Amino acid sequence: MNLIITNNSTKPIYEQIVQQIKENIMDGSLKPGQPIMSMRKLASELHISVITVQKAYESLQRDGFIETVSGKGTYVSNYNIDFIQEEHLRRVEIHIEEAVQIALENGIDVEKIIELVRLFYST
Amino acid sequence: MELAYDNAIEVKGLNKKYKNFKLNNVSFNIPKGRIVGFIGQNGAGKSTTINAILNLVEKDSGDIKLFGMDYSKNSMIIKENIGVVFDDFNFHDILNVKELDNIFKRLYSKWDAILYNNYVNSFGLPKNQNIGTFSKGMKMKLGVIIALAQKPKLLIMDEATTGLDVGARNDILDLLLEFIQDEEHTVFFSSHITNDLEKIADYILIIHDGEIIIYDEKDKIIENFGILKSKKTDFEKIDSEDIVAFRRNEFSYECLVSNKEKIQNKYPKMIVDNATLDDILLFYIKGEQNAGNSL
Amino acid sequence: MQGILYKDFSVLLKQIKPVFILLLIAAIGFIIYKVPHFGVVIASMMVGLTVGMIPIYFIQSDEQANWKKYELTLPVSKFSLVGSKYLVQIMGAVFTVLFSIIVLILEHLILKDVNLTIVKTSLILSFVGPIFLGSFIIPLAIKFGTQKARFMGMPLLFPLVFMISSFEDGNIAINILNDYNSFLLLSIALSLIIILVSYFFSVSLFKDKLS
Repeated sequence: MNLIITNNSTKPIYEQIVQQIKENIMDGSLKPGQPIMSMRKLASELHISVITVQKAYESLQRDGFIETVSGKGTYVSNYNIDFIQEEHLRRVEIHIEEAVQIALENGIDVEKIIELVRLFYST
Repeated sequence: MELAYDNAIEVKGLNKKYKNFKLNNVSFNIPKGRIVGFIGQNGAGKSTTINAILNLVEKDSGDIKLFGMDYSKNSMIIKENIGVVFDDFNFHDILNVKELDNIFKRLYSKWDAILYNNYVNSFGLPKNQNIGTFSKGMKMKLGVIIALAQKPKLLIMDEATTGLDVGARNDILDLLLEFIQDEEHTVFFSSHITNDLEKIADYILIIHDGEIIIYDEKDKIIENFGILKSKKTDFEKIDSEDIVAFRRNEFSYECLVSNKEKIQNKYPKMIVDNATLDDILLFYIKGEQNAGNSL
Repeated sequence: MQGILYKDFSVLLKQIKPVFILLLIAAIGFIIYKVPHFGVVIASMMVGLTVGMIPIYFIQSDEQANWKKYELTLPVSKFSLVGSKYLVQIMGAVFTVLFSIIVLILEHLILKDVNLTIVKTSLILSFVGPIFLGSFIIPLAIKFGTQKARFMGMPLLFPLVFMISSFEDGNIAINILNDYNSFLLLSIALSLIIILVSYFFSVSLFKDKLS
């Protein structure tokens, strides 16, 4: 698993952890059923507070990316392809929303946007 | 003996008066399994508070419980489960590491000689040399090792990293992080070195002039507190309610605020910087308040 | 209490330099040579007085190490913390008695005759001397710290030193001792009572708070 956090980002540390663990899961470096480090161990490795890591793990657990088995530890969820796709789609949505927002603010036509999208798809 | 408790330390309404100083109604709880950092100026009351928690001073009033227990009824059980490190190394110069092992195994039923020796070895502390010859860093590490080898549930440190170089401090922090891997273990430590606390503490307790002014999750404190910087002319426009404390310099006013996001939205044209623990403390120590409120 | 005793002895044993022991032996040898028979009594008292001052030494080294504050966080009751000092004292008294026995045996081998009064006196004083001294010094040290206790303890030594020096003529001393024989036995009982009283007094003086 790759995990690098920075104090220089406006993003709170726990969000960085959530995002990066999600990315690790999506690109396959963390496989379904694979155990991940305990909260305390991760906090110790990153030299951050346990509470921070706890927040991150709770968020990931709520969204179904990881699960904790009592007495055994924390594991990457056995997810299915649809679930991943959903997550990918969600990220695309966010970006599109942002793009549309800028377009609206600056009077750019929706047709122009669609043209751009097609262009990117073909390359 | 199995101890059942939620808070490793409970302090309620602690009052202690000295000639020139007073601990005023100090209250806080230290939850099990957490690292709590305790900061404040010299003379603000950190050591007095810790001494009260260790039952080393007679308090004027207030309740102190450790592991849910009272010193008056369970003094020995409490002491068996606390490891203490003070900033002045408390062991006889003429003893050596091995003799300390022999002494402590006769003082604590849970003394872990293997842990002690492993740590001593990994820090390269010479076993047969008088500890009086050790450097300050070595002495403090030894102090922490001795406390840890007692297998305590609670580790209390009073300025134990003051005066140490960054390498030694890092070693001690690593020891603490390893200690806290067990959820039953708690750490309460006072320090000037806010840098260390900013890294590993779960909660921060700030004391000023004998009173607790802040006690919250470290993350929340860092997220919420900020420094609003304004030109002298704009300072008038800031609501005094929004200002915790302010400082002025040649070119600008700096205001400590306790809800960064809201303030940035309220004063979009002014700069709101992040505040470190040192910044927060400094504003309380050196800052002014508008007339009507006192710090 | 074991741990505390172990600490005290570790600190002590590392401090004893062979030089002191040799000096002590030399001094004692000289006294015995100078004042046969009664010299043993004097030597016993000297060793007893030295041994009697040992608790001061322990308490002082604790003060120097800032140990007192740390000691209060140990799971050891104040009865044990104070008790270890007294136990050391009693062990010291036993040591002094053994020392006297050895010297008496040596003297017997060298001088071939033995004065029963001297033997009895030496043995009793070896025991009683440190016990008495400790009983006064330990509470003083606990209450006032070792600097002041040493100072206060001085007056105690004067009458003893005076007594010793005024009896340089051994025969007069022996005669006097013969008269006061029974009192010597009483002194053993007295010393045990005094040390017990002193112990409980010290425990009550013992401050288990810094302020």
